[in-house]
Amino acid sequence: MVCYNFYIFNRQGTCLCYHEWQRPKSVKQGAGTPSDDQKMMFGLFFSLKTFAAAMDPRTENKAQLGGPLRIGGACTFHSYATNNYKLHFLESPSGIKIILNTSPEIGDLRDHLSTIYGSIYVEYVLKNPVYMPGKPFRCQYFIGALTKYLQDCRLT
Amino acid sequence: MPALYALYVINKSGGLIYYKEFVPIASLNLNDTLRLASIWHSLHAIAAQLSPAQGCTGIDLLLTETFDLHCFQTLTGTKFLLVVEPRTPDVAELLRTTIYELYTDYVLKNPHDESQHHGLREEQGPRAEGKDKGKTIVPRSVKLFTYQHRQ
Repeated sequence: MVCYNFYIFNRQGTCLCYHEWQRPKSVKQGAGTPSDDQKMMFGLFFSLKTFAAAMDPRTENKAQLGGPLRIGGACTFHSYATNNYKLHFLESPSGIKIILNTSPEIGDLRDHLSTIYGSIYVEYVLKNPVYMPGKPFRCQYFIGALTKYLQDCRLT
Repeated sequence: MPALYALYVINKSGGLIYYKEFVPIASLNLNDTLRLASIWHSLHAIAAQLSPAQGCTGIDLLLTETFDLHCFQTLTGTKFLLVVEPRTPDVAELLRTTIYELYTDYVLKNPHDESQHHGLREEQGPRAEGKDKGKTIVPRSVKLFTYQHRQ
């Protein structure tokens, strides 16, 4: 039960926060540079969201493939699993996207991601008077609270 | 409540070979399915590249609120996608054994199969211009069959 890394993006695609606990495959072997890695991750999610909206078997009010999607809503996809990692995703109504990569045996983390957004991100970052919205931030208390919360959850 | 919504078979270049919907999904025409298959092929590869751990082979399972998408990739690069109701059990097993076996038995073992032709044409290209000008292109499976018979 391992957490690999963690991203927060805003609706424009800026990576507001990136943190890794372990990364056996380095960024150089993957995307090349950290900023390419973040852009690729954002692009992957944007496309997966469009893909999931087009594949949705409910037929009422379906977005056309390639058309604009409502920000914050209509995102039905919440995670994907590969053979060696699982990715969990949450989009808030304001367009803030939280992405967490873990080992594949972990179950559904939607409630945990909501708690991370509501009790950790909002408390430590948004309510911080020094924080400028839309800019990347580095906050030790936020990372500390996040790590502690994940450690508490991993035991359950 | 139906459990299976649709089946897609994608070749190793990302093109859709076969599509079947078990439940009529309106507003998804053939063009859209072709585009979706190519989009999935690329996303599958990007997810493997972005993996934080070594040895990732691509997305096996996509979970959403209204459907689950299971993907099985064969050793040759062909992908089988099955769109199912959320939390349907045993789908990976179904893909790997039943659907893949039926595909190999009825499609690949067919000597008149056309789906592998573009790969063959590219290989035959330079040689065909030299010696075999004017000869028709024969499927690889038929060539193997006739070769064995000559022995």
